[in-house]
Amino acid sequence: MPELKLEGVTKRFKQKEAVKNVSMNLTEGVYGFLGENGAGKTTLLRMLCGVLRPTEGMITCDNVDIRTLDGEYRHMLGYLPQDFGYYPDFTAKRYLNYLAACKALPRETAASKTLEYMELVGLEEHQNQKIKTFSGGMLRRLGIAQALLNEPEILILDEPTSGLDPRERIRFRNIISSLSKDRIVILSTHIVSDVEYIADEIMLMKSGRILCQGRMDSITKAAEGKVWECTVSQQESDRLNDEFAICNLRNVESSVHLRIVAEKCPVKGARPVEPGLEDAYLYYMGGERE
Amino acid sequence: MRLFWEELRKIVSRKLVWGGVLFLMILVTVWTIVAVSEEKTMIDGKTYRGREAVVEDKELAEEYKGVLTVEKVQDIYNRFGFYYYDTKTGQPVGNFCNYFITLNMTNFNQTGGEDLSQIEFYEGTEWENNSQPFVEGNTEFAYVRGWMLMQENAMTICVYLQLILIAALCPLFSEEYSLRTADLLLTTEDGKKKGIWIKLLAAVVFAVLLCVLFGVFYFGLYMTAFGAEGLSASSQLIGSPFFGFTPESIGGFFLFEWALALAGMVLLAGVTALLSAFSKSSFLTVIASLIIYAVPLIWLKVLAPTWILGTAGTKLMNHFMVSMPVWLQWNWDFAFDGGQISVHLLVAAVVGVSAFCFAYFRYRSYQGQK
Repeated sequence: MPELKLEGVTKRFKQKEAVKNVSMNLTEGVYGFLGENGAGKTTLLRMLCGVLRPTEGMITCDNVDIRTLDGEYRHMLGYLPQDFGYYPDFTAKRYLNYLAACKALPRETAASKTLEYMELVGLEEHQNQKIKTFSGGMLRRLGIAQALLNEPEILILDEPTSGLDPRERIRFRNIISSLSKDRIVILSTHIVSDVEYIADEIMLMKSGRILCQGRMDSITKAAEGKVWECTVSQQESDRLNDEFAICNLRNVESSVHLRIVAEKCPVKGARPVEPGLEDAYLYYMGGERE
Repeated sequence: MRLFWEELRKIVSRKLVWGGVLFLMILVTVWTIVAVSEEKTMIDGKTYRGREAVVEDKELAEEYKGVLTVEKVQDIYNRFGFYYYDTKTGQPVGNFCNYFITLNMTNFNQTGGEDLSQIEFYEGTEWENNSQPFVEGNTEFAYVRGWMLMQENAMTICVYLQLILIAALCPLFSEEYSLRTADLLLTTEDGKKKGIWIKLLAAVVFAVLLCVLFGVFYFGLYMTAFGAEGLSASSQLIGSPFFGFTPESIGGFFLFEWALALAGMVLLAGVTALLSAFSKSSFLTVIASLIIYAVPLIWLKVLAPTWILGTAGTKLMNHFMVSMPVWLQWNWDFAFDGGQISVHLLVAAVVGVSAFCFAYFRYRSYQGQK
């Protein structure tokens, strides 16, 4: 089981610092990077894959720079990019066989693994269909299948459930969860529920920095006493919406039921409630916490 | 090996490639069929057409086969006169033998060939420069009509093949960028190192196959239509210069010519691959490739005559430009000696290898789309 270590990893693009001084150790388990668009998640994952070179800092695998390991590192890697690229006129089977060849899988192993993972993701009936005919969910499933072909010890999934309906999303979560044994699974998302149920450790990311990192209970603990629920008029709701981070808004007859993230009680009559991950996410994104 | 076949299959399976090759095959087949059907020969007052004309011309040429001499030329003239175009019918009058001597030893081209009374043998320096080399005892004469026709179109065919190659290889890397498959491939074990060399190897193999297989097809067409006679005849019969380096026989000349074309194709594969590695759009790669392809043409036709870089500089640049794909296949026509042609091939090799290497490093260092 490899160990990934990030030490002071920074990535600068001209004027912008996309990732700032990120340090962490990753061992077996599921790691969820949660953050809004532009937080630096994809950039960080690309550096972990070796596609991007860090401007500063180092990423090591078992204390060896991944650039030095080169092919040896990529042998352990399975990657599903945010924009999963494919050749439209390839069939699913042909594409997986091609990628299996790129992953240096022997012919017999490639054939069996291709079939195995297509069955796992429920695409075996569509294996001879051209990828351009696939729906978004099918594409994503194909993407996860290719990421698993070489049975990677490090699985990196960038926004794996992007564009999927709830059923597909649940199916995905279950697949990822089932694969997390004896693996480092790193997934990035801006959808809280993607990581809420399966991540062993969650990293909240904003503007290139890790705001906080830890198990879900420790993340939500920081938001304890900061989450409130109340029922107010429409007018009051508009005012509170401008002033505070609203986690949930629901119209109830002539009133509005709000779930608010705030340091102090936002309005008379609001009661504190147990925070969830989404609340903690809003809490952290609203103001930087270390 | 699997990866190589898959990369080759990706190149070959593009509709533009198939369409281009098929179109060219149909075109040259039609040209050949038309060429045979339009053959006309007049021998001893009798007119023959089509395949019959080919057969009769072969028999006639057999009488004069061997070293061409002034006596043979005189005999042909005495028997058949000059080849010319009948103004009333618009049809050519003559046969292969008197066509050959009229074309190469008279002012036929200058007169337009319609007024028989105007056509006469070269004299003086014109004879010395144009015709004398044919009768100095070094020229093997034979029926070479088919090879003449084949040679007329050979270089055009090569240009078409190069354009097909450009269209086929432009997406080599730029498609990986635009389809975002590069983000994936460059994270696979072989995709970032060995896989790139395999991609480039597939490009080279495709260029070689395109040139060789089409060359064989083209040669086969004309051999089927006109026969294999004349391959051992002198290459000067089909237009190769008397000075500079060219193989003596027509067969050797064709091999040499296609070897130069092949070298040009491989070089072009490298240059196109390099441009593809720099561009995220296959379309822009095509534009850039066509511009780069045409630069040596523009240089030699437009800029070189102005001696824009001075005498030495312009000459040096001329040699560099004739080492590039569009001119490399024509090296035989510039009457370069063997040493010069070797240098041009070396320059082509250096440029080609550099292009492949730069393409490799450029694609390998791709940092992903934003």
